[in-house]
Amino acid sequence: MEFEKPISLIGDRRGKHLALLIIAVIILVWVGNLIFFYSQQLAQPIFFRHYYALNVYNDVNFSLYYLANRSLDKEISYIEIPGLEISPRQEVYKENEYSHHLLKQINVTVERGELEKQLAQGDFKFNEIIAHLSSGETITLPVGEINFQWIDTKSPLSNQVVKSSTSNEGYTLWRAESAVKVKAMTYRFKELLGDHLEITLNKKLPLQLEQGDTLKVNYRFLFDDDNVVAAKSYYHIDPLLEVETGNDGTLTVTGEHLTYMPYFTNADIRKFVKQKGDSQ
Amino acid sequence: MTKAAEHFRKIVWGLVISLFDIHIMNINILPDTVGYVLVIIGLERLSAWNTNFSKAKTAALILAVCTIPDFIKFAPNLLVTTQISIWLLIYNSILTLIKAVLIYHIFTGIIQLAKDRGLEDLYQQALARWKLYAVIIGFHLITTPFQLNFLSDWQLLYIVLTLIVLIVEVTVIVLINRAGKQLSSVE
Repeated sequence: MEFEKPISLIGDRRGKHLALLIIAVIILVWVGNLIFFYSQQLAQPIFFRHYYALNVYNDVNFSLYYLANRSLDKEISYIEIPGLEISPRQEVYKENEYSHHLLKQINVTVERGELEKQLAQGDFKFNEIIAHLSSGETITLPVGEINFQWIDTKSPLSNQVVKSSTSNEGYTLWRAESAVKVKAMTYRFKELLGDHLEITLNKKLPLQLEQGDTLKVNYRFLFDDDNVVAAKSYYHIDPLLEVETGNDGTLTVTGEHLTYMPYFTNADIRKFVKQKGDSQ
Repeated sequence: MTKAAEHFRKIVWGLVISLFDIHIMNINILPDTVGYVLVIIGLERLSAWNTNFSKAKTAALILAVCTIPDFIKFAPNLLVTTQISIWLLIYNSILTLIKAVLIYHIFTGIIQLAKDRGLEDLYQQALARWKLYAVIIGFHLITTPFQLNFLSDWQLLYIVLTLIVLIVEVTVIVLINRAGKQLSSVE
């Protein structure tokens, strides 16, 4: 009986060279992946930009979103809002996970009493939060612009928002509770959004609405991929109608929020991290 | 059953224990270390047959020591966790590499004994199984570091690869078991 040479894979010289080559490839692949892995790590959590106009008539709830490394080396323990004496109630959730990062959501509740104190001195808004990290560090991080305002619950117009399935477009419907003249329409963050929010009305302004008449406003958020930071921001925009009534004179009526929540792919996250890194 | 068959049986059970983990609370009741100690006992008795079993024993000894942390489940499952542990990936890769050395020496011993005793079928099967194992483990070792960067993109691929590695390791154990029986019968 004839046998071939025992274990030609490693037993002979060629086999040993092959084994050494495979080990060299494994080491190279490790080095390459480690370099890329560390190049993707964030020095600290990054908050997305939030442009919120929040109406105050009770405790106010809102969510802030941020990216953290998957290794959770610098996790946020809790946040404080500059200007508020008491830390808001907060809960952190994992929203989604990506190759190197986690998208996390902090649900924040600010008590009405705290906001009353601030709003008594005028408008109240904040652009940064103070984050206390698990590493013991305390850092200040930009979050966009969060505005709070009183809402007049006695409005001559009722309003509801109907969103499309993709939620970045839909329409808002105003119904006159009494006769009212609509003089103009605007919305907060108009300058910031520019062409990124398209608004069309079904009737021309100024316009007289009798009780029961409706005004439909279509909206659509439009972002291109070039400006990832703007496209990947969170928006709670409130439409404002300037109206004139027989009894109360000219009023500004606030409608329900037009919201935009971005969706992220792995590529979006990499692009976002790169743009943020370049801009800092 | 002959003495040699008993020793091969110890190696087989040792490798089975090292392959599977059963956790009760956080304690592993089938720790890899116990499996490798069984492998060492089996190889110790077979060392007189072939020097490759003696070389395999050294690899098994290193594995027995390195897998002591396996008693307690401190390591998260990479396929379900949100955290990435670089050290855990490196640790697992080194263990896989040392285990490949162990399997290589066991198979070299089996192939040479099969040659000496004229067991051509066993010789050919062992050679083919080793080649399959070497290719799969080589591919597994090369793709493992990519988990650092592409785990979420290629999660399904990693699950399939893990299953393939498990199946190939089972077929390797089956062949060692068969080798024990056949080599003992012509002892």
